Amino acid sequence: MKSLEPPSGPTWLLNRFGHRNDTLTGDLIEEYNQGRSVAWYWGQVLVAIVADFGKEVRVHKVLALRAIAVGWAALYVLLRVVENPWWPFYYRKLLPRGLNPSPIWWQYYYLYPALLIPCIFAGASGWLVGRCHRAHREAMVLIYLVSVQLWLFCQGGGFRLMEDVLGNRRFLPYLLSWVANFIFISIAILLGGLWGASRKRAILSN
Amino acid sequence: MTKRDYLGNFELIVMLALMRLREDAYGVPISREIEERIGRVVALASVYATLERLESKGLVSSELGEPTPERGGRAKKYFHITAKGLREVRQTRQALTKLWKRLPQLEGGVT
Repeated sequence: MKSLEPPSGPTWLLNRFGHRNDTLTGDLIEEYNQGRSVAWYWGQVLVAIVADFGKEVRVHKVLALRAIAVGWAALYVLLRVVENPWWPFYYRKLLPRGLNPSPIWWQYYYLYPALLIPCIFAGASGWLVGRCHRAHREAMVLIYLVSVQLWLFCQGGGFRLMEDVLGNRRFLPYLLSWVANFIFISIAILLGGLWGASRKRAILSN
Repeated sequence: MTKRDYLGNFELIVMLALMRLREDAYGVPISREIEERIGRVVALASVYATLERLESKGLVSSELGEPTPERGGRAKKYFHITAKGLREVRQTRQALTKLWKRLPQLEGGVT
């Protein structure tokens, strides 16, 4: 028989994003201790989170639309007001030093600060979505995150870059750069959205 | 009768599992019963989602058990079929039986 402690990562995710957490977590721990694999445990937790997320969005369609609107409005304002002037200013400072702004930012240390700005704004927009939807914070932050990810994938160049890489491998660094941005922005939205969220709500719901 | 009045396929499976398990019907045995009897691997979350839906329709009731150490101190949630639920299962069985009987190519057991 295995130890009583199942993998902590998925259990944390379930407690954070799941709504039936205590009963379902108890069932999962019981099954895990009876010989189920770690992969099975992860799979069950991910299905539970997706099912809860889908249910929340189905039940609160208007709130979900509002969350997307609030997040995008915040992101748009921040990008227009702060980021648009910031980039030319940053580049003007770099160019006299002979430093070339490159889309393959991860190869050039001096571009790291510039990349922080979109992440901070993404986090701020996620935070606003979370604050405006405290009762359904996790689901609303997730639906906003999904909308941003879809936009990044379709309009932000992800799909085109994947096609380019399939045709010519020299585009691979650009795709890696895009994937890193995608991951950082997603993490920023999640961290911002869940900032200050109490775990008690999910636990008390059972 | 509208379409919504009938039990769905998975709802009926869960209800039948509840009837077989009687007093010991909580998440783990229900999913095991379904896996063993019909060979269908189910996610516990799907079982709970279905049970919640059945409970909201008044077909199933639930009660919390005592927390146990083998479950990390978490309580079991036991589910019981209600009288309304039992009626619903019978009606669904009758409806399905009538439909099966009107399929001539299946009467001899040929699928």
